[in-house]
Amino acid sequence: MKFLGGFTIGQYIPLDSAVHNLDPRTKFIGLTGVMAYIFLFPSLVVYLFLMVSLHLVLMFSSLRYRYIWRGLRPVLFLILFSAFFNLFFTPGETLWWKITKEGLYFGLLYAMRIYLLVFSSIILTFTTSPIRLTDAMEYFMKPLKILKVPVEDIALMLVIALRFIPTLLEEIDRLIKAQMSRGVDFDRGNLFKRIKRLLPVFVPLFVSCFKRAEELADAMESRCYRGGELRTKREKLSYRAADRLAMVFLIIAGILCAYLFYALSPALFI
Amino acid sequence: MKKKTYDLALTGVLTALLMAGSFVRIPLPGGVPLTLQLFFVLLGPALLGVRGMLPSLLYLLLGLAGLPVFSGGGGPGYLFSPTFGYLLGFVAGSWLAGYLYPKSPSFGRELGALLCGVALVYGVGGLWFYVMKNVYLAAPVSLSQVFLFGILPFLPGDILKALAVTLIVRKIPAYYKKG
Repeated sequence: MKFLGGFTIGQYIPLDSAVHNLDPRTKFIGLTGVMAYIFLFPSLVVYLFLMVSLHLVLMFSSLRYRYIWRGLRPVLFLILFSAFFNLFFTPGETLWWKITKEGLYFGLLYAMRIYLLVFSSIILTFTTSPIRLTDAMEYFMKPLKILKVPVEDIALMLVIALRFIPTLLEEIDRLIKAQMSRGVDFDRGNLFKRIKRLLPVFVPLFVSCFKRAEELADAMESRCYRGGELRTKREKLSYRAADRLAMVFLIIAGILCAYLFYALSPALFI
Repeated sequence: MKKKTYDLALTGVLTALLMAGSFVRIPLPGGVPLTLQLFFVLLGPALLGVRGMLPSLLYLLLGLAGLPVFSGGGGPGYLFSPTFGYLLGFVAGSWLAGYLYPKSPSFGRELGALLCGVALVYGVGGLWFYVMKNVYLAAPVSLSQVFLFGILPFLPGDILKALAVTLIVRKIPAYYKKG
């Protein structure tokens, strides 16, 4: 019996590729940029262009398409649903039965939009380790310091959270198995009984959470942790030539998208 | 040990718990599994007060940054998903629950605060669902449909979860001292 689905925070695949070695901030900006293009220029021509470009990025990241496919599976239903809905329920010039020209167009457009959105975010998470991702997040949150938001503390909490996910998953698994070995059947009984059976799992889980938090706080203070502002990093973020090049590509892609959208799309209708 | 460092560590651990806990599913007869996400969301305000909104907020941030912690993945694209409102609702709801949560123990007021939080989760979630479906996905649904399919079926389970949080949080100190 499996209570814990195949959860891997280790989506990150450590390889040595051009995309992996980019600064996480660059990849973050890249992702935001691609998403902006997707929403600003909704047309099939632009989407085809973005699809080709993203596949090129995938090629440079030395990842196999299989990984992308694995990440796409959860949203496959959403893609099919929006394609289906648009295909049959868009009014316009009828092609066959209820399928209209507009329906075909928008069905494809929406399906591709979801595909591209997921594709681009998968590239980011598969090529960037969670810790570097939080580093980038901390960097982008820095302006919030003016509003007295404790950015460094938040970043540290994020790192702690990431660190503890596998530990807690293991702990939950252990507690459930401990109960099962004593004859508890989580699969039977009505709702109340099932919830009641979870009590002996959760109470020790919470207690261990408090203990871990306490130990962690002790360990931090014994190493002279005094709030986030004075903390330094072991691996600093560095912006290199490759990052500048990537930014140039991003801007060129944006100009091309705008050109395709305003110049070509109306002529082709699509 | 300073309180601040402890709170920081506890918030981090609770965020991890929220993410790990979202993957615990209780299989129910009828097919739809019961997830305990809201249970872990409500745990924040019950333990940390107003700062209890932080685990939900950090969860949201990590998910939006692309970590696969939401049901159905993660990433900024999730912003346009019709169910994203519930995640926003978690932040708003846990803030409200933390704000209302009584300082001195009182079963009724504790449960009341958590239930107000649950109501806000559904308010924000339902509204987002409605707006997204109608404006963005161009698949019109009415508000009553949202209530019937998006809120009503989950309400009894979530009231139970609020009750469970109230009960469990009261039990923790006793266990904690013993250990």
